[in-house]
This record gives sequence, structure tokens and C-alpha cells, in this order.
Amino acid sequence: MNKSGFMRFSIIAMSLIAAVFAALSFIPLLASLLSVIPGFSWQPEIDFTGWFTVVIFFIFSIIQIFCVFTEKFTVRKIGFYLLHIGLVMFLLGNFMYYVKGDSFYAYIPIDGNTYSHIQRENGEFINLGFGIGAENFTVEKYSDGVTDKWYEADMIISSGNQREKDILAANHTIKKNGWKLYLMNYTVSSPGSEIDSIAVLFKHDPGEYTAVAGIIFIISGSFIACFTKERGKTEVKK
Amino acid sequence: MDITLKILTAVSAITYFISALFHILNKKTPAYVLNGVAFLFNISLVGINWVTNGYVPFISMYQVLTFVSACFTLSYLYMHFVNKDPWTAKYFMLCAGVAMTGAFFMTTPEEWLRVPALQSVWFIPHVLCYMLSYSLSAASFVICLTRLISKSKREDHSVLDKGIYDMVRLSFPFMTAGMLIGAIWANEIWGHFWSWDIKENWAFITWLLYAIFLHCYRNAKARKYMYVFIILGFAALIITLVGINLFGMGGVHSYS
Repeated sequence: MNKSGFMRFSIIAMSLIAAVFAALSFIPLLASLLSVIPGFSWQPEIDFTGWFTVVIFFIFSIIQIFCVFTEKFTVRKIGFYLLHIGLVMFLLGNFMYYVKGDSFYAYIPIDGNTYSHIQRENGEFINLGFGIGAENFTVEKYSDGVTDKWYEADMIISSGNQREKDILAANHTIKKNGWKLYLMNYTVSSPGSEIDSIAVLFKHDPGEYTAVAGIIFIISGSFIACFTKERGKTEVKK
Repeated sequence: MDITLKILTAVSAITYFISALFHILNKKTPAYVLNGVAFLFNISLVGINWVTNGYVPFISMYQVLTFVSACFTLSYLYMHFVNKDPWTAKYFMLCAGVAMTGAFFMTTPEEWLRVPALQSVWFIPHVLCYMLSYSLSAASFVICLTRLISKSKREDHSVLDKGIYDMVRLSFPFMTAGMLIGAIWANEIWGHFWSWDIKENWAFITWLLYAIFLHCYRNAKARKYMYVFIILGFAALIITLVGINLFGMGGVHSYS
């Protein structure tokens, strides 16, 4: 297949992917529209995280790789290369998480103690290889008294005899031994009482740096490709 | 304050429309003068909103639309001076007028309760990239409609086609940056780059449709289909920007 033919093939493939995602993403909108009918209730749950999406993006990645090989390398096409290679890297990074990554939510009591074995949602205990605990929690509210303005937890991270302190907050994570900790929420055991625990997401993502590198490649590639002056290479039908 | 904002919005919208009309009638001097006046009103509105919020005015659809209107003029300046496409002025002014008209009918918020999730360095570049991209995509859609309904000469058609392509070419990297800066931000706040939230899905579909357009334009046999992707892309963009919120299905983007 020549370059022009392959581009047409990728147009068809991308159109099919767009059509499938549009059809699936339209279902919740349709359900929302139909909910105005009295007595009609339909709450479809569409899972985009299964093998189906993996297969689609695997095909998408193969197309990107072929695209790279159909173009003869010149410095002027560096944007094109960065963009297409970046897409593959981003998808590969996410695939690495899909295969080897792990994440779970857990509640950490604000009691100043550290815990190295954390219980995940299914009851299983995970050994983090370090201890983690919450010492203090601060929450600031807006004048309405309901909406959170800011909240953060003073965390203790223990490893052997060493004890370190760090802050865990929204947009401020803690990284340790390949785990990344996110502050998701806080809880109170009974209404009106003090905040006694925080909800933390523990995430181990071996593909994170690959995905971020992919993102940097895609963004820089798209800017270089689209801002580079063309030299009349666009095909014209005779 | 509310009435001042309404008056400024109305005056700005009307001035943008009159400027577009003068551009259509080829009266360059009054067209550019009115364009400047409308932009000044527009910028004043953005400034007032900024001062009211104490932060960038991206609090509601009203503020976003007033900001997008200003982006139309900024995008036009790039098209005029860098891409040498001054004829695109009428399309940008028309779109700015429509966006301002939309803003006029929306309620003006009083206080922005910016939740911790929104207090990120990624917030401004994420929204700003999308605003620039959407303004160019909207203008390319209007040119596409003009191209499809006009019965002018073939040379004129090729100028319009080139204009559409230039705009999407300028819009696409900003759309890409907007989407992927959002992904980096999501990874920092929610722990995943992509959560298959309905707004994210439609943003991806929009991006894919504009990517297909760029491929179509560069392929002789596929070029005749490019208009389809501009129309579908813009429809997907409207669903992403307005449709999802209209249905109350913002998901993790419910505060946008």
C-alpha cells in the first residue's frame, strides 16, 4: 500500500473509531433525553475500561507505527514524528498500567500512627514497604460554611527508624517506593464530630513516565507540525 | 453591577455584528474601527469579571463565552498578520457576535467558590488552550457552511478551503494541548490520565474528527469528504462545551 492509500486507510480507521465512541457516548445523552418521559427510567452503564477499548487502541497504535514508517524522514517532518510516536507512547504507558499497575482506596485514621499494611476494598492487605499515617488535618471553608476552600493532611512516612513528614492535599501528591498517594476526601464517624479519617488513593503506575513523555511528544509534535510552513506538499487531485 | 455587565455585553455583541456587516460590504475602515471598539468592550467585560472573581474569569458559561469572544479577535489577528488571510475577518466577527449574544442571555455569577480540585497550575492553560481552539474551530465551521452554500467561482472555493484548513491547523495543536494538559491534571488530582467521563469522551471524539479533517485535506481522493468532518467536529464540540452541561451530565467536570 502506498503512502496515499495508507492515509485513506487511516482515515477510514479513525472514522470508525470516532463512530464507535460517538455511538457509545451518545447512549447516556439519549437516556437523559428519554428521562423526561414520565415513568421511563433507563440508566445505561457503558464500560470503556475493558478489553474492547484495549483492542481499539491497539489497532490505533499499529496504525500510528505504520504512519511513521510510510513517511520518509526529513527534519521538517519532526513534528509529524513526535506526534505519532507520542500517541503510541501515551497508549503504551496506559497499557503498562492496565497490565502491571495497581490502585486502591483506603481510609487512614488521623491518629498519628503509621500503617505499613493497608487494607484494600476487597479485604486484602497490601504491604507498602513503608509506613504511612496522618497526624493532623486542616480544612478551610468558604463563607457559605459548606463549600471547601482548601484541605490538607499532615502525613508521616516511616521507613525503618526514619520518620519523614509531608503534606497531602488536592493537587499535591506524595510519592514513595513506586506508590503515589492522592488525598481524595475526608470523613467523620458521626455528624458534628471531628474529622477522623482521610480517604486516600494508593496508585502504583509503572507506565506513568512513559505516558507523560508521550503527552509531551504529542503536544510539542502537534505545535511543530501545525506551525511549520508547508511547502506545497499537499496532494491535489488532477 | 449586573446591569452594567448586561449593557457592555449587548453593546459589544451589536458592535461585533455591525463590524462583520462592514467587512461583508468591504468597507474596511469602519469595519476595523468597530472591531477595535467591540474588542475594547469585550476586554473590559473580561477585566470586570476577572476583578469580581479575583481570578481568571472561567467560572461559568457566561464568563467563558465572553472570554471566547475576545479569543476570536486574537485568533483573527494571527490569521491576518501571520497567515495573511485578512478576508477571514467577517467570519471571526460574526462568531464573536454570536458568542456575545449567547453570553447576554446567561446569568452573571456573583461569587466563585473555587473548590480545591480547581486550584491547580494546569487550570489556566487547560481552559485557555480550549478557548483559543474553539474560537478557531467555530470560525472554520462558518467558512465551511459559506463554502457549501456559495455558488462562486472555483478559485474562490479553493481560497475558502485553504482558509478552513489554515484555521483548523492553528486550532488543532491548542485542542491537543487543552485535552492533554487536562489529562496531566487529572493524573495529579484523580490518579488517572483518562477516566472515560462523558465530557472527556466527547472531547476525544471532537479531537479525532478534526484530526481526520486534517488527513482528508492532505489526501486528494479523500478531500471531498473534509467538509463532513468539519461539520461533525463542530457538532461534537458543541456537545462537549454546552450539550453535556445542558443535560446535567458533567460527571467529574460538573463544575465546568
